[in-house]
This record gives sequence, C-alpha cells and structure tokens, in this order.
Amino acid sequence: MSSPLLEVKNLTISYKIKSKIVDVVKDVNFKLNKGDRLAIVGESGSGKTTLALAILGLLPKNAVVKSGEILFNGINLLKLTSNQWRDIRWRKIAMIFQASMNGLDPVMKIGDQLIELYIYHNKYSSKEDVKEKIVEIIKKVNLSPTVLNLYPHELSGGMKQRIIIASSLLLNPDLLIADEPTTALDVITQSEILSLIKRISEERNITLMFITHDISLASLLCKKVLIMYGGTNMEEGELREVISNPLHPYTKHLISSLLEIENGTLTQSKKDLSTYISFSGCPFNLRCPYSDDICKISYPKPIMVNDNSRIVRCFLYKR
Amino acid sequence: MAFKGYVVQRVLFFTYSFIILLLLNFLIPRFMPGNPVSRFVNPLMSPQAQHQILEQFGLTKPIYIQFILYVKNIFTGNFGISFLYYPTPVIDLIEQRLPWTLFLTGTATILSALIGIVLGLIAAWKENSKLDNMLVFISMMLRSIPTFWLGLVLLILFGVTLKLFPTSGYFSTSFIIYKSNVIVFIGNVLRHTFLPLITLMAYLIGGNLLIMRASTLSTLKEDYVTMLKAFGYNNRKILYSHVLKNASLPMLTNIGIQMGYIISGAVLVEAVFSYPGMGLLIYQAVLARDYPTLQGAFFILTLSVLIALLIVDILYGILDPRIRR
Amino acid sequence: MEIPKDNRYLKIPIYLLKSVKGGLGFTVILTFSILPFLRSFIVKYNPQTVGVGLPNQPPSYAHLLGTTSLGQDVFSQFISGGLIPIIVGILTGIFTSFLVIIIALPMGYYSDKLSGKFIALLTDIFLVIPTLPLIIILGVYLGPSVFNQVFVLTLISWPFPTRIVSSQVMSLKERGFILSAKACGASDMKIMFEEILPNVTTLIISNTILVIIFAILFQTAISFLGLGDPTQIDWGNMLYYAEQSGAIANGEWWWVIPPGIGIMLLAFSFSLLFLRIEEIMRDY
Repeated sequence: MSSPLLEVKNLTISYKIKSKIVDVVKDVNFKLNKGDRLAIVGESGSGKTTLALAILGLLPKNAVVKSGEILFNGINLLKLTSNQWRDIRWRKIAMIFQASMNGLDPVMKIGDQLIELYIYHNKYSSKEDVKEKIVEIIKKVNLSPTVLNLYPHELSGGMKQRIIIASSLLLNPDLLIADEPTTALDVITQSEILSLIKRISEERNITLMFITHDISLASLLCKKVLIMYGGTNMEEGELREVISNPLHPYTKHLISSLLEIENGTLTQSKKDLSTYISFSGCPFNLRCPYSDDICKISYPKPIMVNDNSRIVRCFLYKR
Repeated sequence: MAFKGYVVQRVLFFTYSFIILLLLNFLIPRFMPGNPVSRFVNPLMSPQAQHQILEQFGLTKPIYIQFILYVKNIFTGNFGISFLYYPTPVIDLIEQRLPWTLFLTGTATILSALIGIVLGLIAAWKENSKLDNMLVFISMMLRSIPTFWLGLVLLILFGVTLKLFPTSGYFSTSFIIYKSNVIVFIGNVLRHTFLPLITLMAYLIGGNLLIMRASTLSTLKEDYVTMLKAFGYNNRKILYSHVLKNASLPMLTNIGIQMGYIISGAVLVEAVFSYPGMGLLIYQAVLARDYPTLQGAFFILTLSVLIALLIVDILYGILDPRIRR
Repeated sequence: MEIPKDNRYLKIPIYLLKSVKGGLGFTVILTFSILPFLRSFIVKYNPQTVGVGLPNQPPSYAHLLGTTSLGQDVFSQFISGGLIPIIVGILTGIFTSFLVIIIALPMGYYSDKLSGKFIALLTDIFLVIPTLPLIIILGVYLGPSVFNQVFVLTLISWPFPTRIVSSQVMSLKERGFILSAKACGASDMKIMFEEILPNVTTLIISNTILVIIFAILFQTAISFLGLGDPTQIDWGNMLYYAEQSGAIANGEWWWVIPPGIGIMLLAFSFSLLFLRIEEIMRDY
C-alpha cells in the first residue's frame, strides 16, 4: 500500500485567549490517500477550521501547536521554513475558505490578481501563455472572461467563490481543502458550486478534503467521512456506512436529528441541550446518553472496529 | 456612475462649507463685542480712505445691504485696507504671502504622509517588536511636543548657537541684489525652509505613523491577507503589493481632515521663524489688532483648505475602486 | 424587566491606576496640578515678582532656572505654569464630552434621516475650518481669559470625537438588543440614553483624553501668541515673553526649554493614560 498523501498524527493545538489557554484541536489522527475525497463533519467549535489552517501553516499568532505532526508526502508541515512553504502553498496544497470571507484584494482587478498569482509561481511564462491559462480556468468554473476586468465588489458571492475555486486550480495542486465553501450562499448556487468542485476533483484526480457542518452535503461529494466533536475525531469510515450505521453516540445523535427533520418528527431531546464541551474525560460525556463514570475521567483513544473499516473513539467499543 | 454621484456630493459639501464660511466671516466682525466699524476703519487712516471703506462695505447701512456689498467685495477680492501695513490693501499682502505658506504646508503634508505611511506599515507588521515599540514611543513623544516650542528650540540650537541655518525669511534679500541664478535661489530657499519644515513635520509624522499603524493592523486582519499567505506570497510582497494600498486609503481621508490643523501649525511655525507667509501675517495682525487683515487672511486660508480638501476627496474617489465603480 | 447593571465602569479607575502607564501618567499630572499650590514651600520667589534677581541670568544656586528679562525667577514660574493648561484642558474635555454626547447620539441614531444627515454635515464643516486662525480671531474679539479659552477650545474640539462616536452609534443601532428595545416600544430618547450611551462610554472617555491633550497643546499655543491671560503666568505665556524680549536671539535656553518640557510631560502623561484605557477596553 502506498504511503498516504496527508497524515495527521496526534495533533493538539491550543489558543491563548485573554490569558486563558483553550485546546481547540485535541489528539486528532487521520490519513488521506491520493485520490480520496474525505469529508470532515462537525458543528461549529469542533476545531475543523483550525485543523485546516494548521495544514497550510496559517494559524493565527495566538495559536500554539502543542504536539503532533502533519505529514504531507512524508514532510512534516509543522516544521517548514517560509522558503519551503513557497513551494507547497497553492502549488501542492490549495484551500478554499468559507464563502463569507472576502478572499480577494478589494482594490485590484480580478484578472490582475490571477495573473499576479500565476506569474509568482511561474516566473518565466509569456504574457500570452498566462492570459490563456487564466481565461481557460475562468471558463472551467462557468464564468465569462469579462469578469477578469471587474473588481471584487462588483461580483456576487457565488461568482467570487468560483473565482477562488478557479484560483485554487490554477497551479494544479495535489490536495484541495474546501472549508465550508458554500455557507452563506443560496441553495441553488450552493449545489452549483458543489457539483463544480466534484467534477473538477474527479477530472483532475485531486485529493479533496471537504469541511462542513452539514453531513448531507458531504454525502454529495465524498466517499469517506471523519466526524469531529470538541476538537477531536470521534468516528471515521465510509460515508454511507457511517450514516446507515453510526457507531459513536455523537454520530448517532447527529444522524437521528437529521432523520427526524426529514420525517418531520423532530422532538425536544429529553437530555439537557447544553452544548458544553467537557474539558475532562470524553468531550461528549455531558451530552451522551451512554456516558459512564469512565467517560467523565478518561480520554478515549481511537480504535479500529468492524474489520478495520471504521475508527471510533468511544469507551463503548473494544478492539 | 457612482463616481459622478460621489463628485457631486463632494462639490456640494464644498459649496455648503463655502456658504457657511461666507456667513461666519460676515457675522464675526459685526457681532463680536466692540464697535463693528472699528474692525474696518482705524483713526490713523486719511479721511478719504475712511470714507471710501465705509462706502465699500456699507458699514452705516442696514445689514442686508452690508451683506450684498460684502459678497460683492469677496468676489472682487476686496478685503479692505490693512491697518498695520497701511495703505496696502489686504489682498496684496495675501498675494505675496500665500504661495510661501502653500509651499511650506504642501511639502510638509506630502513628506510627512510618505514617511508616516512607510514607518506605520512597518511598525504594524512587526507589531509588539522592539522596533514597533520604539516607533510608537517616538510617535507619542512627537505628538506631545508643542510645535511652536520645538521651533524655538531648533532655532536656538541650529540658528543661533550653531549658526547652521538662517533665522528668518524665506530667502536672503542679498540675493536679489546679486541676481544669482535659479539653482542657487532654490538652494537658498531650501536652507531657509528647512527648519520650519521639520518643525511642522514633527507633529504630523507622529500622528500619521500612529494612524497608518492602526489602519494596517486592521487591514492585516482581513480575510484576503490570509488568502495571500495561502497563495505562498512572501511577506514583502503581501505588505507592499497589497496591504500598503488598502491600508493607506483611510490615511488619505485623514490627511484631508488634518488640513485644518496643518494650517494652525503653519501659523505657529511661521511666527517663530519669521517665515513670511500667511501664518506670520496672521500673527503680526493679531499683535497689532489689524482686523481687516485678520479677516481676509482667515477667509483665504479657510478657502484654501476647502479646495485642498475637495482635491483630496476626489483623489480618494479615483484611487478607491469601490467608489469609482 | 430589570437588566443587571454592568459594574465594569467602576473598575476602570482601579485598573487605570494600578498599571505602570496609568500610574505614571496620573502621578505626573497630579504633580503639576498640586505643585503650584505648594510653590511657596519650595521656592521663596513669587513667579510674577519683578526684579528678584538680575535679568537674563543663567541658572545659579539662588535661581535654579535662572531669570527672565524682567528679573523674575524662572523656576517658580515653571512650577506654577502647569496649572492653567491643566485646568483649561480638563474643562475643555468635560464640556466637549457633553457636546459630543448630545450631538453624536442623534447624529448616529438618525443617520439615515434628514436630521441626522444635517447634523453630520455641520459637523464635517466645523471639522475643516482651520483651528488656530479661528481661535485667534475669536480670541482677539472676545478678549483673553481662561473662560474664553475654554469656550473657544471646546468649539474647536467637538467635531472630531463626535464623528468617531457617531459612527460607533451607527453600527450599534443595527444590533439585536436595540431592535428588541424598539420592539418593546421604547422611545428613541430612552434607547439612545439607556441602551446606546453605556456602550459608547469608554469610547467617549478615551476620546475625551485626546481632546484634553489637544486642548493643552492649543492653550499653550494661544498663550504663546499673546492671547492668554496676562495676569497669570502659564507655560505658554512664559514663551511669549521670552520671544518678545529676544531670549531666542540671546540663546537663553534656561527660559525657553523648561516650559516646553513641562508641556511635553503633561501631554505625554495624558497619552499614557489614553494608551492604558485602550488596553483596558481591549483586554477586559
């Protein structure tokens, strides 16, 4: 079996906020093989965006990586110098941020920004070459080349997001991370953007890491899923199997709420609806209907179950 | 299309301000404590001159006639006759002095803006470093120094004690006699302008640096900066190709607002260095209670500020594409 | 329904004084405020008395900072000279903040209505009028006195903080808690003063300090131009007399340097307070 494209090992990241230290990502483990399409699903505050930022080395100043490794083709991304990053960022790993972000320089034309991007990484290309490539990529995301002469504020959210997607493909990266790329967009644009991402990653065989809070969206795009809660990975496996047979109590809760919404039978949960993440023991223990004494004290480790097709982090399961 | 609307809006602002200025300048001398007539005429003038002024400004007539005459006078450049420099008309004094003040303040504004922008950018990028702390400290000091006092100190230090720079005027009068060439003339002007210029710039650089620093800090928090890092751009490229332009736009607005204060600084600096501009004119007029000159100078200075502000606003509209389109 | 009051504001003075910046700034200001009253215990000369020493003398044991051209003791002038700038500065700050409150609140709150736009226009116009020339003109007509100085300075200072506070008000009024207050039927006045005002208080306080710094620098400038109160000695005055009597040409640094140092220390101390308040706003 060839080595994975991306491997995250025991990653723990904390933030320092007003003299308090909070663990935002705790002991996260997973592997991503070339050609995979993995969905990372979790509610807000589960640490998924922090995870994504860490992969590209874009964590804010008040973030500290306490432990762990992020291996990309065997290289530990946490130990790169800024020169080394220049070869990796956007060329090998590209990222689409949340749709609500304004990821484009407001005082520069779209075309100019894309040209600048291309030339920075391809110093000796001719002007015609560059323009050709840019027009080609713009058409690929179903936009008219006239858009290149406009400024970001003249475009709609959906158009801006397509530009960002186009820019992420410009250098043909190996890994594409899409962090909530369609939140804040209307439903129609949402499905257009998602099918765009799916088509392109299939065409170019790009490994995809799709981060979302919406597991049904994930199922449109991805084969595998990683469920995150309270900063750590709770369950991992083939997406269809996880949905039809959730093992972790949190996943069960997630899936059943979805079904209730679909069936129209959503009732108030009997347990306290507080979203407190527990800082001792398993993060989910305060909300978990199966929680036991051990859950309040010990931190569960991920275990492979069901002939190694699933990974679960819960005291309910033994190897 | 939005641009036209923007320009119209700024021109309207200019117009409203001009009207208010017109009114203020009309009302102040007439409604402040004391006899309004004494604000235009003084006993040392010849009887014909006194009579002429009374006629031109309609000081004995009802207020609405005075106002009409006043507006007519403004547009013909008639501000009366100076008391201090009698019998010179005020407008002549202004014509002589205005260019020098514009030169001084214009240069000070542009230079201190450039320096403030570059240093502020660097300070913000290296936030909390030794360099940043030092720059902030220096800026705060510069903002605490009274401009006129700085002028006095520099004058004593460099002008009197060390005799490095001349202590008054904007060029040595001896040069007129010797009819030297333009380059030497410019060199001479620069020598005379140097001390007043840096005195004026001190306070401005402090303020510009702090504001640019704050603007850069908030620009650095914007999403697109993270995006630029993700693109793999190195820090210098991000700073100078992207952050600089975005962070300096608010600075441009700020420079417009500063202009009122810059003129104040110019008055003080010109007074201290005896630099023959509008500021010195106002200073001397105050001491001598030369009301017509005071009123005329105030009006022209304010008008200059309004025009400069209009230019800066339109420039902003051109540079910021969000307004242009 | 009672909403519990926020006690944060009471803690601000404590946080302020406990820190290095705040404590230092406050101490310096306090020193220059009290020292004038203790002058007779420190120096035996009255600042105004003429001829206590030979004129234009450099510092000596008898006169720590030398003498003026009228033979007055510079050191005693220096000790007393800070009082008027401080008083004028603080009074200007107080009156300006009243003005800011009553103008900025409606200006921001009614920003999309004609009344708000009109106030904004007036504010912008006053913002661009050159300050010193205006002060000079008013000063000449009104005559020199501390009260006139405060009046004129307040007139100059209110536009800048008003703009800042009103744009904060504008962004606040769209927030949820305001909309719910409106839904409860609260009147505009009530909303402005009970909901919005507490949220802009720290902004007003920090801007008031900026106004004070500005007023101090301008007050000394006005005094320097000879428009100050001739019956009192303040730092600006000292420099006015120094200039008028040719101390510059004679290089009488002992007369010229101390008042400026005093003004600098005062302005810098208020800046320290300002920085500390910004820190407090950010971290707590």
